[in-house]
Amino acid sequence: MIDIGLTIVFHREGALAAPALASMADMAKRTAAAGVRVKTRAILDRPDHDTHRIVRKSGAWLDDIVTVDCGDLGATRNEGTRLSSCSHLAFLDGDDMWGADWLVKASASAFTAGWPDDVVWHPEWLYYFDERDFDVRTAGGLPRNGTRSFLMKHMASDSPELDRRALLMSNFWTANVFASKAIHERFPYREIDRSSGFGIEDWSWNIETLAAGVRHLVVPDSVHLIRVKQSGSLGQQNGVDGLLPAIPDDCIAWFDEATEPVATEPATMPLRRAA
Amino acid sequence: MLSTVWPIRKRQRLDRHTRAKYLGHFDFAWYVATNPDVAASRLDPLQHYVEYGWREGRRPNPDFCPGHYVTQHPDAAQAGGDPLLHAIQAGRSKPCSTNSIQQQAPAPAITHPGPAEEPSSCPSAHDVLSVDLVNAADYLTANPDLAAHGIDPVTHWLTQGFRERRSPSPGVAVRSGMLADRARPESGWITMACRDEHVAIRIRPLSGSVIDQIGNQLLHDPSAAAVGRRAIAGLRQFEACDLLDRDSLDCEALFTGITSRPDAVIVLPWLVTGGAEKYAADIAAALMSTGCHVLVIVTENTAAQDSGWRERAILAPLQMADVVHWKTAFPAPDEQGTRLARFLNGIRPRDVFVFNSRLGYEAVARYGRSLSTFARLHCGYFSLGIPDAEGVTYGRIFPRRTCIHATTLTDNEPTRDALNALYGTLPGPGTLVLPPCVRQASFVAFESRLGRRSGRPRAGGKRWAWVSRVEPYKGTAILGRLAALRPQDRFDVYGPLSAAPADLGLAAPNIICHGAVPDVLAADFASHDGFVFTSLFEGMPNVVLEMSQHGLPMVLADVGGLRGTFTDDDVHFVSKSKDPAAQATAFDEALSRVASLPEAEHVARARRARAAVARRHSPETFAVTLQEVLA
Repeated sequence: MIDIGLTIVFHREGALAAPALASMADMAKRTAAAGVRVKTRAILDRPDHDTHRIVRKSGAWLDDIVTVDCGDLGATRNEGTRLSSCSHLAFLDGDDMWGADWLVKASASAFTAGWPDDVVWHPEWLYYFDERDFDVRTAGGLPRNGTRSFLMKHMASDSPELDRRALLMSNFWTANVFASKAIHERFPYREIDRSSGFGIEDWSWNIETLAAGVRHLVVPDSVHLIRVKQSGSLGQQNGVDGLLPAIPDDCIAWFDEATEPVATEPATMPLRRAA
Repeated sequence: MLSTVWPIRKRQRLDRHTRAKYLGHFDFAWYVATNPDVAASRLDPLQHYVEYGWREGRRPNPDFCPGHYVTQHPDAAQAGGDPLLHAIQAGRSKPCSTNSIQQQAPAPAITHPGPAEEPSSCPSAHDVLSVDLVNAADYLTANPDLAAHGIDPVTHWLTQGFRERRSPSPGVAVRSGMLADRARPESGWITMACRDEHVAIRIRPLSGSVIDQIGNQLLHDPSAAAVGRRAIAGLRQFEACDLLDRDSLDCEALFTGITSRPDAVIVLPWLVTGGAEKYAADIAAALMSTGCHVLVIVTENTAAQDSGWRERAILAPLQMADVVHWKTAFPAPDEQGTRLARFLNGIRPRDVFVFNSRLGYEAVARYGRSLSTFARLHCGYFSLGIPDAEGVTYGRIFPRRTCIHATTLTDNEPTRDALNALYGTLPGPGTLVLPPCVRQASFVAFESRLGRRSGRPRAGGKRWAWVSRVEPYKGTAILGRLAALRPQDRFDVYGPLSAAPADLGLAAPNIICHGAVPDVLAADFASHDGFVFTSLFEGMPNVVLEMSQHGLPMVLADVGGLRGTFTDDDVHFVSKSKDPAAQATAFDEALSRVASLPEAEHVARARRARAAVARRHSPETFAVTLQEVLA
């Protein structure tokens, strides 16, 4: 039977942890109903009091709640990998929400005939929502000028429209991924090294895995809802700290080569395996 | 002979998806003009073509003949259906050079109150768009300023909205400008000309299922729909890897400018004739002579602004390097140098040099910790300027932040000493002097110039050459006063003017401005009695080094690093004074002394000055010193 370790990571999300846990619960129920065994876990990395309290209360249904003292997003996810005994892992950030079918669709994609195990799966769509849009809200179908929320579509790594060199300029894929535990063990997240100025664990991880030939594919018709923070986001902090993604030596050759797709297999989804 | 005629409003219109397929390929105006029966009927021309026109062999635009296409492409005949649609899907139909949008859209400005005029002839584009492409109700809700002025939404979108990338309806995405040029048909984009601009539209790929999934999560956090539940589907949508659409990063333009991964990167603000640019070009030449591949990143000027740089002699070495204009690729502001740092992190050069580029200094200051793990960073500062508001240079602002990660590179000792006094206690690679490189006249040419000068008449008023950029900080006010003190002399000013001569203090009748000299070394100054240099502050001025090759007596303000090369036995230094009148008097006295010296003394000084330049500023010395810097 397929088993998935579903891990949500908290730091200092406070009240935002409640909708995240509710959304995760939806997803876990939906996935279990589809015949997939799901082990749910929350990892709290140096949480503040409110976050700790809310997760304990709103996450009573979780299989496990662990508090760690990593002080680093990458190290916390690595701890999630270590703690899980499942063959596949999905990581969630504790202030987001997810389409309820994310894991059902992701596992269906991953376990479809023809895909190797060294694939990282991403949702097709990301809905970045910004509460400040309340000030420009509309009852109509077109957003008003000044709207901050937006929709972003993930692209597969072997899409002809994707130039992997551009990944060195900006991150293409978010951190809420679905992949085998083996991939996470082979490519642990890098911890931020402030002394050398390298960090940004999810971006570095995407670059490192892509450089190693791991394919990044999208799960059709799936969506994650990502909260745009007004302050204190990791992206803002990375800029303040002057952090750059760690780039393995393999990537340097990207500029010496003609732009080619990373893999030769088609990016389109093969037919699902018959039940 | 019109096909079955039904008033268009009593019929079911073509759906939006069908219309989108034809946009850019069906010429509404041309179709109506060449099919008067359609015009007379006030039928929707596209609907007529789709339902009847192609079957009747009517052309959808001047360039496409359905009958001919079918004979050339039997698969189209086999497939049945409209040949134009077949051609569009097969990529065989070129977009119309003109179309109804271009020809028929009225053009009132947004500030015009009142409803726009209806197009006169037929309802085609305006009418079609009003119903199918532009959702008037949603458009007016999203743009309440239009409603307030009573402006027709279709007219607004056709004249202005598309330029601002406003969506005409929730289901339609719009691109204009460069984004439209790059829109790929295989991704569903349809490109068309619209009022002399390219516009691309496509039906948004977001499915209703995804919207439903988002909607279900609102149960857990209604704030996710702060924008408005219905508006979510109409939000801006883009592919994560399309950085041009997402962040205005034209990676394609950047990457195509790089022939291979560079060993060294030189960051400059622009490619103009200037000391810093020459210095950088000489470094590039020295590096390339050792087999290094060099990339020059120009951060302030666009490629268009620097279009003539290849004709500038001092920049000739850069023609062998890759040159990228950063603002052309990334026009969006990058005040912290983040994008530049990311790019450097991606290409990992061995050496990075920054000269006078604010963006480059910011990138080193903020990201130098990581960049310096793989690259030797060098930030050049030539002078600290003079401490008033306008005379402040980057040398006063950035070294404190860059010196921890980068070698502080300068071309003169006074600047090195000043920087060391300020920041010498900070950790870092230190401050090094790399004197500039200067081309030198051959021995024969130099001696010939001396001989020509010696033979000239010495009686009467003197003629002095003043060569530099003609701007206040080069001491133009001093020159103006000096000319007034010596009305019998003539002062020839060579250099680009930063303002009108009178505004620079150069109104005296014995000052003649000649404009820029294309090549100082090759110019002829044999008829002059000396070279006057009145600058208020400098690093190591190239122009003085070049003028030393003309065998003229040199009367120089004692500024910058000139004493690192010349002594009082070579040239006539004039001490600095804050008072322009006192400084002009000092120059006047120096010129009088020069005029009274015997010619043999001038010749001896000129030869010593040339030898001093040869020792310190030859290309060979420059290359050796550069290697020491890099070591």
